Amino acid sequence: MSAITPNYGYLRGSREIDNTVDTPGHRAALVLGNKTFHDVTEAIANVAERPTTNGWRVGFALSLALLGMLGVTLTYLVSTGIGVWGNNQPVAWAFGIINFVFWVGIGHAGTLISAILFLFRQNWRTSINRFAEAMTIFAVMCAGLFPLIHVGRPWLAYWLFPIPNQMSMWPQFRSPLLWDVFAVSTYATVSILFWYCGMIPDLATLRDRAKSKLGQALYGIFSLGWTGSSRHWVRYERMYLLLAALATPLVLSVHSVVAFDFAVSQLPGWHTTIFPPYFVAGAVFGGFAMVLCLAIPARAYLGLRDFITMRHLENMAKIMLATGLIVGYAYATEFWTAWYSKDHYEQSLFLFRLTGPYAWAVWTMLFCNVVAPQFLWIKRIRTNAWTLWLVALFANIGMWFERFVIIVTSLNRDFLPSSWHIYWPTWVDICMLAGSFGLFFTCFMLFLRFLPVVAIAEVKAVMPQAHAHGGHDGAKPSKEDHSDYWPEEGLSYAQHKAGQKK
Amino acid sequence: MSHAEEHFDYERFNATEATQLGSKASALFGVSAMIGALGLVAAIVLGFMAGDGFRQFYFAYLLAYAFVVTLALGGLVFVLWQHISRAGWSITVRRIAELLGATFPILTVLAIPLVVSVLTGKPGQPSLYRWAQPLPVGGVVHHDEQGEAAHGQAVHGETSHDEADHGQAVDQVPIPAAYDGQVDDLMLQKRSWLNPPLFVIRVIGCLVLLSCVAAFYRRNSVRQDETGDVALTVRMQVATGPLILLCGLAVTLFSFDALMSLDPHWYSTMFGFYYMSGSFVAGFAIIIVIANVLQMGGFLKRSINQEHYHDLGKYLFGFVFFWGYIAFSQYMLLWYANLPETTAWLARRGVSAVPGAQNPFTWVAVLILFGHLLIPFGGLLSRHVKRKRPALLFWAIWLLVFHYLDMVWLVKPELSFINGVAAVSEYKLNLGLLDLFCLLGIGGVFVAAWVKMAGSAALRPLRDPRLGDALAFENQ
Repeated sequence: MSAITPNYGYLRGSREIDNTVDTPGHRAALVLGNKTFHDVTEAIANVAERPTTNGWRVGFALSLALLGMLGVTLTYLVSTGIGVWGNNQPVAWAFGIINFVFWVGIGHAGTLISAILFLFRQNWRTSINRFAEAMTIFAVMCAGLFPLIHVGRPWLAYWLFPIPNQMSMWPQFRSPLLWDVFAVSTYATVSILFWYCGMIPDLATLRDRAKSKLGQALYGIFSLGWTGSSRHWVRYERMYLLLAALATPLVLSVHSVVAFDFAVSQLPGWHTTIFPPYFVAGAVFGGFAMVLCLAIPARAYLGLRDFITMRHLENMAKIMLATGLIVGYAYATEFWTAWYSKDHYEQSLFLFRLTGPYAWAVWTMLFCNVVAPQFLWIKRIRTNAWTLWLVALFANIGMWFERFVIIVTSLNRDFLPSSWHIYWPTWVDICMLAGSFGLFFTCFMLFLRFLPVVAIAEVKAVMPQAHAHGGHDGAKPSKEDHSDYWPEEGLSYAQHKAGQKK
Repeated sequence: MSHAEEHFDYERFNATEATQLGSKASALFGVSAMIGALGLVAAIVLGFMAGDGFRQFYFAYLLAYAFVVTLALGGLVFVLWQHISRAGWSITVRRIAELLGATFPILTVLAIPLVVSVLTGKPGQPSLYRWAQPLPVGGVVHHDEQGEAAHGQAVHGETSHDEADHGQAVDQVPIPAAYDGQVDDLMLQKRSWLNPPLFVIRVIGCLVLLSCVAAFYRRNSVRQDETGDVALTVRMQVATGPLILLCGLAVTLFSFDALMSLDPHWYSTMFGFYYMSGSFVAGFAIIIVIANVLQMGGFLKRSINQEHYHDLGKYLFGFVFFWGYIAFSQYMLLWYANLPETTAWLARRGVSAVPGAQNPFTWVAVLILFGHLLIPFGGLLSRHVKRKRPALLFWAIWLLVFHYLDMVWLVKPELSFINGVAAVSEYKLNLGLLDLFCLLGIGGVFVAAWVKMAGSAALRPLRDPRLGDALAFENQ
């Protein structure tokens, strides 16, 4: 046991240190293992500096194989035509849009963690924000791919942008599909800026430590001449705050605009006013589920248990539970309103969902998104990495099926029964979905190999050493009582250091 | 005893400022209770003199009631939100919010006129809720059967279901002439949800639930003033998760029943969020106002500082934006799909592109757009505004005024819906003395209840283990 966590035992039946205990008036330690600033740098930089491991090679090879499959199916699709998909009339939007919405949703956790939790002064975000932001960017890349090929002639996709041209052709500004172009590209831009700018100090750390010429050159270029002077820090922090403020509405706007794609229509199952906030909640739910799915194995494999602690995992589990409940609330409201409105179209659609040929998908969705998160009420499940990972996996599956249900069940029952048509995906659809995971994981593995996976500078700022000096005068209580960063029982910084030496 | 208690001298700090309302409580209570009682009596007298079966009175009353409920709700949600996030910064203003929530028992009693209005309906003379009139005999059975049949039919042609139903209803069971266009087939179909006994059970049930939740937090918080027991904080924290869920459902049901069912045809899955988001704005605004008033009166001079106002201001700004997001989304989606059964609700509220279909509510809608969203958005953007007490107080009062106007926009247009025949352009604002008296009446009782409870304990938690956090934090 380390001195920094004097009261923490281990979680029942595991090697995890239990920093989830909450004593009001104290804040739990966010970095475990009695680390100095130097230890933090060593532990995190080591992930990018150590020799390539076999485990990483296997993971990367698998990801690359899936990415290759995406390349092959993509070539086949573009050279043959959209007909190789299972799309039909009336189900003109199928896997292309399902996967788009799924991946955009995954991309929500990153910005929520880096922007909204930052504004809410949630210090625990520092251990996971880099990770989640990287995931956001890769997810948005996967998301962008699908509408691009869904348009059928991707080489003309630039028509979506309002570029003056000889044909006097303009996009349809009243279409939410066009709003998507702006919403998603803005989101991608701001997410990349946030991720990259946040990484500059850490890239400079890697630059200063790099031994190879290539490493020095590349980290040197991307760290933009960062010296760590106080002037740099002042500007950096001002920028970070402004970006956070700009990114916060984007967390709401992207998935709201995606929700508009559906809700502006008159289609039963699509036209309902709760869609925007419900989609945002669902996206955060799915996004956090993906962060957990990745973070739980990664922290064990990369040796980051002292940074991404059980408290971090539990906090994410709680956010999943909260957003999962909002999703459940939205489902309930939709079903209730279909009944209350006495709108026959709406009612028959919801009955069709529960009992029709896609009922299996609907019940899968309801189980994964409504039933499974309820297990997170139980602390033992929240604080066990295995069970938590399982619930997060269910949430990911459930959120994919939610989009399947919304798109396929609503479309395949047209207003005219003569147009009704069942939809099933083809092998190309399924391979492209799997291939998109290849794209995602290839990028992610590269990130784990070459970049600082935890925000080194930010993590240091939430450690007790960063707040050792400077008390408050007058009637304000002394620094020890400002328990934000000070988990120890009544020790001054000097006593704490003395304890370390023993 | 905890570490915080050993190090932080609660007694010494608490002695440095006035934390008890003391004798001022009884004086304030007397004045506000008097205003409340006079307001209510004047409103009832005016309502009686109107000679319309209290119809105008009920609308004015619901307007004021829906407004005041959002204040209490905003306070309660603030308390829940602080506990679930284990917040430290807000301890010094939390009691203000606890007391706002604790007015729910009084507000439950004040719901009596709504209950009376649904239980005393007369055929063809709608008072507040059109659906609350006694129904034509036999109507329910017949129409429920028809509703059942509709489940089986999936899709039948292009006609709007509204018209189709009405056609069938006229063919089979004519609605008696006494109802004079006030009752239609759709309302009869909804009878299984919109009927007086169930309405009363739901509304009173929701209010009682909110009362219990608020009482739980106030009781434990006040108890901690004496014992300083850290376990009380843990107890409140642990209960918050399930209670937030229950309160969310209760508020949704309340808003659907009390406000959405004013137009029994209309439905919007977003409406619960709409009412909640407005109540968040109102809640933060009223907390800012009360904190200012208390400090002007010489209370809590040291414990509430610029940093707390800054944070409250940030929340106020954030929820102005959030309200705008919800309001815009609901409006845009209804407008875009342009389905007759849902846009009719907007049309009665003056929001229509049809030439000549505008009415006074058009101006209310425009005022809300600017006054509830765009102008305060700009006004609260600056850090300096949020850190200057008078400026923040100005915007808090401003937002309370426009939030009231938002309630006007939700409630009042239905008053002009008589017999369903008046063109929307003939709709009137119907704002007058009656509304003023109702607001003074309910508001007076609300303030009296707040002051009474505030006088019985300290104005802020005295020994909360996170009090140190709240006093020491700074916005960088």
